[in-house]
Amino acid sequence: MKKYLSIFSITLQEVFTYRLNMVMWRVRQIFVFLIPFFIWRAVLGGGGDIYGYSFAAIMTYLFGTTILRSLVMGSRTIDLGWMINTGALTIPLMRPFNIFKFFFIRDLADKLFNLSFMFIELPLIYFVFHPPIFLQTNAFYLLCAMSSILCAIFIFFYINVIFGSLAFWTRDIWAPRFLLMVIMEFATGAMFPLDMLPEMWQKIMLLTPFPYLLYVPLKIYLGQNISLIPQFIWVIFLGLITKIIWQKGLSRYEAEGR
Amino acid sequence: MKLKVAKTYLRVWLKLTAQQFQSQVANARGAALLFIFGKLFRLGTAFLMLYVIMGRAKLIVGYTMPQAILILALFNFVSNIAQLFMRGIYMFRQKVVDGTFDFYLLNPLSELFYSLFSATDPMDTLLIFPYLGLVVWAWINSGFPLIFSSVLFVLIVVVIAFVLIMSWHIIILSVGIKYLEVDNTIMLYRDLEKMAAIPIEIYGKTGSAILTYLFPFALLATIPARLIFGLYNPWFLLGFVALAILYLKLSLFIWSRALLSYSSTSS
Amino acid sequence: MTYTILANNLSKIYSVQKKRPGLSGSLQDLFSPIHEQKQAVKDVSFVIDEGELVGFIGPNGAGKTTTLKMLSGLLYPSAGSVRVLGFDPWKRQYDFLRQISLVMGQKNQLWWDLPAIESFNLARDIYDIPSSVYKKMLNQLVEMLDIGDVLNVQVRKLSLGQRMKAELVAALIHSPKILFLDEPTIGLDVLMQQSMRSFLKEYNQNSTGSIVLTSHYMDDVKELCKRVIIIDQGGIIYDGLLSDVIAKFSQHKIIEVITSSGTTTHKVLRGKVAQKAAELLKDPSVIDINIKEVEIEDVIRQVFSNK
Repeated sequence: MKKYLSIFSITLQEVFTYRLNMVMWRVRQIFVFLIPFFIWRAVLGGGGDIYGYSFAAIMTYLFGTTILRSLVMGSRTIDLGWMINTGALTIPLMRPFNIFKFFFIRDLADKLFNLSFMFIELPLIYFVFHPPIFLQTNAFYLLCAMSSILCAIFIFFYINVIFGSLAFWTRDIWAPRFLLMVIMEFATGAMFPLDMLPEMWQKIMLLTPFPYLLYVPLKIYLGQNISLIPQFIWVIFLGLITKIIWQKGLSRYEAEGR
Repeated sequence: MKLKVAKTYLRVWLKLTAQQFQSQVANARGAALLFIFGKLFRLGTAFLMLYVIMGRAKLIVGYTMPQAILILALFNFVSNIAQLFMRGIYMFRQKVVDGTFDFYLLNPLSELFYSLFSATDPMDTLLIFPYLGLVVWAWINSGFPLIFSSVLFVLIVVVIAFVLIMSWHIIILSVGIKYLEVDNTIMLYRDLEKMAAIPIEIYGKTGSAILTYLFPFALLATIPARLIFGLYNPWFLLGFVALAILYLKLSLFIWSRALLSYSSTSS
Repeated sequence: MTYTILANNLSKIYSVQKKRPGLSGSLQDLFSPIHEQKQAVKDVSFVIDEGELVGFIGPNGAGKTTTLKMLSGLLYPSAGSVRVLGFDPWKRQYDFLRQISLVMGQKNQLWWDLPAIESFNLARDIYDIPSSVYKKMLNQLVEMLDIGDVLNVQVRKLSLGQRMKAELVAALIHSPKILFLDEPTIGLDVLMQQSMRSFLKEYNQNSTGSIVLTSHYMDDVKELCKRVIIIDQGGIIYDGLLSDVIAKFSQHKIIEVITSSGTTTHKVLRGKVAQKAAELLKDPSVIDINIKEVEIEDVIRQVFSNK
């Protein structure tokens, strides 16, 4: 257990070393929130609704995705591809701990870092812009939401490991990563609530794991009756694929570059 | 003399771009295609969001949907051209870390030239055509005439915007030289820039003022659009020319100061 | 008379952040960082003339590379002044840059994925070399370095030695007046080191250009440099002929005694050499004796350990 605490601590130290980087990253998160805020305010500020979302509802959604991003999508496993390509993976592989636990702990450190900043920034934004938001009080929904978030964390972790593992087969990992990022930006529901789209589109999107990262957990929090089962299935399914790909990839690993 | 130097830069840039292409042919072609697809997908989702919102709202801060589409198309065009030419900034950190930047400094041509322009991806240049086509389509779709004076003004704005964007990139490079932090800085810049993809009036009086006079991102889309709609006085552009020159001088000054503390990688 | 390189009291001070250990340490570093001043180069002055081949030698971290970088215009001196070919190198003016060249051991300025010839052609455009001059220079260099058959091979596929040679062509194609070399033989095997040294020697003899190199390999120095500048801990401790270094710093000579059972060496004070030699020769098992100067490596080592 102690070794995992050390890993956690060192990851945080790494983050703190790059001060400017840290500051920039946080400022960027503020922008991610601001632009949609302005758009929605312009469209809905005066009242009315779009596809059933009033200004208050959409604001809650926006706040929700902003917090969930830090919680679900804060990750350092994105480095995996680079680690494989440069041979940097060798060192943690040779250490006496489970490599997946290693990556996961690092992710947790990243999430903690991001969340702690959120607790400063969000109240700030709230006081400046006074967006109306909705707080869930029903215990059942809260519980479901938390399980959903936990599933989302795992799903994202597995997606990152799978994509990082591509590096076992090809040197060029930035292009597929870029494509993934672009698709996720949209498909996770980060840009706008997915139920603003036509039914057909929604059905198609729900066949991919992406909406389960932000959109579904948030909807559950907001009190919508959505089943947790598809998420569980995705967790198990992706977990299996990750294991298989990882084993296959590892056998190809040549530790080049060191 | 100045013309000769300009010709040298152009020749070298063409050669670098051609060699970049040759280098790509030697490696993976698939990557370039994935990138292009990714960029088009991103553009597609932006338009999708616009449709979704404006599908219900008739006007957005006084602009109709076709007008808002034109603004998005203009932003996309200008922003992407700038990114396409100044792609070097995304490799900058690597170049400083592996020592290539030292070679840039000692090369007779400006190190800023290499840091910004030496990595133009020829595949990206292909995208200019669909993006331009999109602008032309959106222009016609907006119902405003495609007359010579409008086109001229838009071109002037694009040139001014390009100079401004270059200045900001130079400032980002300066930050990068001092703190070795480029990637988040450039992404932060892109986030700021993205604000101009929609009509800036959305940001309220203060927001618009900041985006017009302090960080004139409004030049990327809203201002040329307003010129097209006949809502803008072209004489104001002179003020922006002066602002662009000021920013350029400022950025070059900041760059020379940043280099003073450059410590170079150890051997 | 204008000197090729004129350095006056050059100094360079770096500000380095001191990191505190542990999580709490890094949090402290975040909010109140401590910086230390490190003096890399202190009050260095020297003059180099046209056509000279000068070596800056010293242990790792002595400040040789820092000095070289100030001479080429990469680093801004914290104090002092330097004039190279009449220019202030820091200004990096076009006319200055086209007359110098820098080669850094292990670092490449050639296009990795393209044949070397492409990089040379690019250099022609950048330095504005007239076609005829370019062709002549290219042929000359390629012949001298014997890389004619790899010109059209991708640089990434070349061996380390071939790559270094191609680097040299790229560096010299515009006939620079000064060639700066930073640890040029580092990482090369013995044969390659040898061919690089002979090339540099030949090049220096056949052209009017100056060569300034840094190295911590004694063999580079012994082979190439008539004149050395020894730098240690940021300051110059010797500037002059290599042959004089030994005389100045070494009070001893070596007497090598060869007998039928083997060789022994004796370190003897200069004044006592003749006496000791005569003494040793009295032994009937002695076949031969050699009287030698102390190896330069040993002299330098001694110098560094004393200072």
